[in-house]
Amino acid sequence: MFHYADGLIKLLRKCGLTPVIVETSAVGSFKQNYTLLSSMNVKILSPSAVLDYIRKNFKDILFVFRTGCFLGGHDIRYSSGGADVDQIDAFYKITELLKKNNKDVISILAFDGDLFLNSKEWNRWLKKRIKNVDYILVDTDNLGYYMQFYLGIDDYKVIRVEVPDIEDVYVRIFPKYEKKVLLLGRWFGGPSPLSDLSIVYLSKSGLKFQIGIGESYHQVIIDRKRFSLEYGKVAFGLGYFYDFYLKEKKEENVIKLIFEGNYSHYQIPSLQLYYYPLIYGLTNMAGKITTYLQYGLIPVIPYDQNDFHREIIHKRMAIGIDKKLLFFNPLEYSDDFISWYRINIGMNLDTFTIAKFAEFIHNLLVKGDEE
Amino acid sequence: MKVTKIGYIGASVHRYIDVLAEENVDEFKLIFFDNEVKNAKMLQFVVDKYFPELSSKLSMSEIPWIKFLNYVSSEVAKTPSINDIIKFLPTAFLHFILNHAIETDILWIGDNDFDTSFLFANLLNYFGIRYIFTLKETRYKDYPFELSVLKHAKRIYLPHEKYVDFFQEKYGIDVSSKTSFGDIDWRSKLVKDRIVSKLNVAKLSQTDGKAHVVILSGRAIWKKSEVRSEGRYYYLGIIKRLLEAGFVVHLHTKAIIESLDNPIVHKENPYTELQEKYKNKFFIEDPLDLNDPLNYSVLMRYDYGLVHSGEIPFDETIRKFEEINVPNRFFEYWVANVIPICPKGVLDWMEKSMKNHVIFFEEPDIYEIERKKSITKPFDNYFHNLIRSITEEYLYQI
Repeated sequence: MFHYADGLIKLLRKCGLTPVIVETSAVGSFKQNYTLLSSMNVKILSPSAVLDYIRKNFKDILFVFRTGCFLGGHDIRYSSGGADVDQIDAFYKITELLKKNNKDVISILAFDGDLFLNSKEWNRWLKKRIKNVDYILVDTDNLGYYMQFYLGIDDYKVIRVEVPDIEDVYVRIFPKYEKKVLLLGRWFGGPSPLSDLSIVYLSKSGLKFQIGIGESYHQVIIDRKRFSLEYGKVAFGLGYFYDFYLKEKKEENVIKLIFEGNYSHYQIPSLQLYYYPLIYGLTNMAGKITTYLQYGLIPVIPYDQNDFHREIIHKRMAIGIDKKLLFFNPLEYSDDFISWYRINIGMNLDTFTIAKFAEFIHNLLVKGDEE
Repeated sequence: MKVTKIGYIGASVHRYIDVLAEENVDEFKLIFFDNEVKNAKMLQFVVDKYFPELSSKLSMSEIPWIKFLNYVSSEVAKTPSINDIIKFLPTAFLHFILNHAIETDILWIGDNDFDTSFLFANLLNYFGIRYIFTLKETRYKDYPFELSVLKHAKRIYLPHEKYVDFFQEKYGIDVSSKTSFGDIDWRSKLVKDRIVSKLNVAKLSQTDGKAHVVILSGRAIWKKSEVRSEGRYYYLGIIKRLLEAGFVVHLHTKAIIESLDNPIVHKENPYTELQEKYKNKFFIEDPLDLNDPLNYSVLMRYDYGLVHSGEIPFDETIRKFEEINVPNRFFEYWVANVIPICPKGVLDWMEKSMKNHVIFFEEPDIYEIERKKSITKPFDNYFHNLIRSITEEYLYQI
């Protein structure tokens, strides 16, 4: 599922570009994305119409862009309907076709944290399809290193795409906050330092919000405001801890072992449907953390080797939990402290919004390169 | 073997050096509650400074137990139930505890009704974890967590046999079959032999020919009628009687306050007035931190150490405990070769069982006490005995 798709569309339009979406056979898995984009009057091409469209418009096409996952044959593919393979294959074919007719077209391939490279066969498949891509974008440095190690791709940029537009950020300062920790979305289990007493479960409230994804643009706009009114005063947001407290080895060793290929890929416990590869905790930029930041809720996350975690901890936008800390008490934080962190979040929008990607696109349009 | 203690550290942290010195123990893990960081640091300091060869056996971890209990108390109920504790305990915390509780040869919990270790042991009961329990301070009133510990602990270590009767009377249960005797307040044999015994300190009495009595007490109060401690820390009466009998008295305390109910400090108070009245006979001394064994040199200057104020608690729940209690300071006096003295009528068990080690008196009579001085015998129980008993029972009892 493509998060914050509306932000990308708005950005492209602000740059004077006309987005055109190519539908693939896995459309069923991304129904909400398509209805949201339709509600923004985005042109959506069916698979059968793509070739004809390219033939007629290849001179006007500036960019070919794809964002999302690559599961490398991992079991999680059953929940996504093989969309990764379809989309990357479509991206590859369209790019090849366009480049034959228009050498100036720029191909951009963005990967989110759901990138798993534990199959040599699938890695070969992917490598063939991305070797001529102009720009590869990733959410985290670790994800880049991961690709470098397994695919030999060393030209990538850490630019986040599936993040909110600056206009959709609702960081508000209050004299008093609700000293609780909100839990959005899924919970993968694994030990955490939170007492159940501290947690506000969004799912228990019975309220549903369309924030990162949604059925229509109108509903997304309403829900974002509604969420701000309902939960804007909650001080903290709970991130994933995965196997943070279960790892006996030091994080540095884990990274090294992963890169050397000597660490099991199936370690994240207690997932409802499928076990996630261990690497996920270190390479992923969790969507829920983006949403917490969008509303000024301070993420409570492990101080691990995930470089996105480290970045927001060091910028004083999130609370980093040391493995020795066994109990996080939200009452220990003053209202002033929370306001200070909210201000830091507001001062570092490029970390979790589409601002950096906007700059990248802008530079490509103006200079032909972002450098 | 690996020994893990979870819970109270308490005063005289160097007791645990005997655990490190025990040949059966290869590794000692001390998991302490978060209100005892200072004591944990002190233990590490003493080990590193005086017994560095043992430091590799010791590891310590802090757990936010008190902080967590306070949080649950403030959010749910003043006295949280064990179900509340389990329900709201962070999973990382639980994982840590269970990991350490399972991966050890001897899991040791303790020691007192006031330090929340009973509650902690009940948490282990819930998860079916087996442990041994050392117990010292209690009260003669029903405490369900204590009863549960007495029922579930694999072995119990009580200071002496009268505790068994105490619990028989209190709960109607007989714990004798799984009880061994050993006092958690016994002092370190290694510290006594290697450090304190080698301190060359002259008694003050050798210089001035007077009999010097020391009183070690965390607090001293001047309002006797308070509820909280039932006047046990009221020393004005006994100090006056000792002074009138011709003793020189030295009071080492951290705080002189009105009462435990109203812990206010006055620069001028009945104790300072007494000091003014008995110049050169009554001294309010600086607090004495005996966690560093070298500080025993201060205590060793005195001839006698007062074990109890002699104030009899009105409240039965405290009085009945006092009857079987051996106050902590008795062991400090003994380590420093200071002869313990005590008013009769409060510490019943001690009066009957330790008359060779303590001089009990109706009224302080300097000639009578001086006469009995020569017949007191050295007390010969060390923390070493307790840990030896614990480890050998683990090895040889099924």
